[in-house]
Amino acid sequence: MDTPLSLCREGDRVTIKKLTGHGGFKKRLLDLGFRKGKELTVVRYAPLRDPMEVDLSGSHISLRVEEADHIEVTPTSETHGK
Amino acid sequence: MANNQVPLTDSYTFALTGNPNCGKTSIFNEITGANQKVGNWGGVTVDVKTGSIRRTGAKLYFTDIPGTYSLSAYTMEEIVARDYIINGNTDVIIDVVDSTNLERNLYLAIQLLELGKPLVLAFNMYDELTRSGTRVDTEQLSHLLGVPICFTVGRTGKGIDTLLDTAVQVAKDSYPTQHSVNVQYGPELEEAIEKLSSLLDQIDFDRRGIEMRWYALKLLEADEVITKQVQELSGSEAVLSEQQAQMERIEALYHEDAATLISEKRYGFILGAMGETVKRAPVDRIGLSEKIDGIMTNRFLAYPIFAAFMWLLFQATFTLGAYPMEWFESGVAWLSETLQAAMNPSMFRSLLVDGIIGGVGGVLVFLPNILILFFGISILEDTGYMARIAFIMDKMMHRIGLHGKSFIPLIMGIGCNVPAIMAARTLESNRDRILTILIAPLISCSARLPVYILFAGTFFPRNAGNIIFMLYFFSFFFAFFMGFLFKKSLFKGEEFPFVMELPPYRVPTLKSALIHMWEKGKHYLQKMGGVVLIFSIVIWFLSNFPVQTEVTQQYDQQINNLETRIAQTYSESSEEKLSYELEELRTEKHREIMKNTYIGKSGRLIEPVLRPLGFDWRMGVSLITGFIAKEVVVSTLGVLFTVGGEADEESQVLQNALRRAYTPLTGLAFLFFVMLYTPCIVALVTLVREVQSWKWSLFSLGYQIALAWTIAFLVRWGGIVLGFA
Repeated sequence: MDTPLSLCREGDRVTIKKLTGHGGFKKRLLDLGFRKGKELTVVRYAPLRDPMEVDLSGSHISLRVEEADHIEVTPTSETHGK
Repeated sequence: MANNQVPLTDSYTFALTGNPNCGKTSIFNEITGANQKVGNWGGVTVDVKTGSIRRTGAKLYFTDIPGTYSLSAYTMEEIVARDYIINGNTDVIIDVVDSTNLERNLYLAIQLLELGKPLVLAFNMYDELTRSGTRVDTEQLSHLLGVPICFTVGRTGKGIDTLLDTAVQVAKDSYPTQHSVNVQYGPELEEAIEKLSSLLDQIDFDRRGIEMRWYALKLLEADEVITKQVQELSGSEAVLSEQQAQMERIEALYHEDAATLISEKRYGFILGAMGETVKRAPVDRIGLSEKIDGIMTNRFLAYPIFAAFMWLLFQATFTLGAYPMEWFESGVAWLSETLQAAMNPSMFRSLLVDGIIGGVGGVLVFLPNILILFFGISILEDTGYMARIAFIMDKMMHRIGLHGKSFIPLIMGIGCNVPAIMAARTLESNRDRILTILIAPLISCSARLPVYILFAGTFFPRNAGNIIFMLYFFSFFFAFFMGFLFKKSLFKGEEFPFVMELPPYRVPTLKSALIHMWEKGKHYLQKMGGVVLIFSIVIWFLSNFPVQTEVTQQYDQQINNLETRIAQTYSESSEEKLSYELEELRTEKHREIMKNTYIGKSGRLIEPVLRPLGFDWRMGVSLITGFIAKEVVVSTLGVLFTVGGEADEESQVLQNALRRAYTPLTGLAFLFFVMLYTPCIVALVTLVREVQSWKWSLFSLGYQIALAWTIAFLVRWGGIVLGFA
């Protein structure tokens, strides 16, 4: 089942299903390696719970929680969060 | 330029490009050494570094262009980077690839391939890749991509010789394996590319040596810059309506916009090529960098650690920097004393000692501070910690409508507002950038520090450090407060995305930190050498002219009389008394003359405005000259308070004079005024260039003066009401 990335917890491993943002924002995500079918891990949230950090096959990207709303994901494996 | 018409020596130009954090700059440093020049590209003030070397009889020119993730040109730096790649006159593009992150780095390489310009890939940080156990069949990969691949380790300089040899060979058109490879986008997209290319051909679109296919792709991606470029041509309607039609057709077919599909195909091509050539070792998820981040961005530790680093940076800059500062100071004092003794009293001696050495020397002593600070900032950047600062600060910055990245320009502002305003260029949206630039000058730059040191040391000798720390605290407070106010009033509306990379932690190299430090130091000296030198002379002129013969003669007569009386007296106590009177008289003479010079007049002109703050005309004059450069406030006060011809410990004389003239409360109000009012002319010029709007420039100028006045007023009257007068 697809959920927005923003609802994921630390340690969740998910696969990108769709990018729903628009224009420049979406291109930026693509340039940084967010693409359909790509796996990523939620590494952590910043101390104030925003932004979040994800691991995209070794490259770490940070994005705001409200931005992660635009990335639809589906769980890849068992979550091993806290 | 490339291939200049001299037949005997070959010369080639190379552009170094690559993702941010790919180690491009360390390769550039490794190639060119300190032999670099920082320039601007095409009217915008994004730094483009150039350097040149001689190698086997050829002259090689290198340009280090800003890092970019792709050719979609999103940030201003990326627009500059792309513009340089497309329009710059380069023989060969060298794309520096972070070997540990091939997928994303090759995404840029693929787009460079599509340009059809000569290209060499430098697989950088190859040692890290090898250590991780991953194997790459580069011969095969090079064949698949149709470009030569070299291995480099930027931090040690390994592989750079081979890279240069290869690049020169490609430039000479004598490299064997070059052939063109194109990503295939599938029948539907290819049809669209085909149609758009031929339409562009028909309207004689100037492709500047780049494949027309690339422009067609950009049109399908709805690239704003390229679309605009087409729009300006006559007969562009056909192209633009075809662009629209094709984009709609593709979207209807795939339920996805063309830009996304193109991107997916590119990634598909990369994954295909990597699948054949890369044998990945099982990845150890928890690397060292990850462990460090577990601490650095930990919920409880992040902010204490951040504060500790900032404290360390401060201590290094200001406590450690105090030693070389002392040496400079005594050197300058020695020089003025020597000249004073060696030369006969004259207008020229006065100009040289009081004007030039006094003015420039007073600025020079702060060079150590600046060098240490930028060394520190460079380390923060090179280690990757700067990005973590943005990560942990974003929530707070977002509150005042800013980006986490805005914190970096603001921090830079501690060093100098000029690079701070320029650093705002890393912000993607114009709105974020202007907002950051508007509040950045409020951050106390190092040029304001001399004023702080002088006044805090003069009026609060026991608490000087605390006062200075408080000033820095308040400068951030006011920056945030004004940011919040502006966000609520002037900048209502949509914000820009935050997404950014957190590069792995790396051990910084001394070389890169030293080069960075040297660049900033050079910049500071150039600013000092030019602007401050000219204005030191102007101020000297304004404060010595018009010559008032009458007043001078009157005082000289009185002084003569006193001197005769001193010579005649035999009582020690009355001699002492007379000497004191003489000293007073000399000061009075100086002050009276000053009052009627041009500068005294201008100071008195604005005095009524400054009166409510407790400032007198001399403070007024120093504030006017402080507009030239904030550190000049100190040298102006020096000129205004120091009796000419007396060159002891300059600062000591000045401190005593200030203590006699002002109350500590006035001193504090003055500190706040200096902290908040208009930045120096260099910063203002930078600001005007960066915001590219007179409206915002004037607004920035006006609101800062108003804020400075209001706060100084509140400090003074608050103090008086509370009984601190």
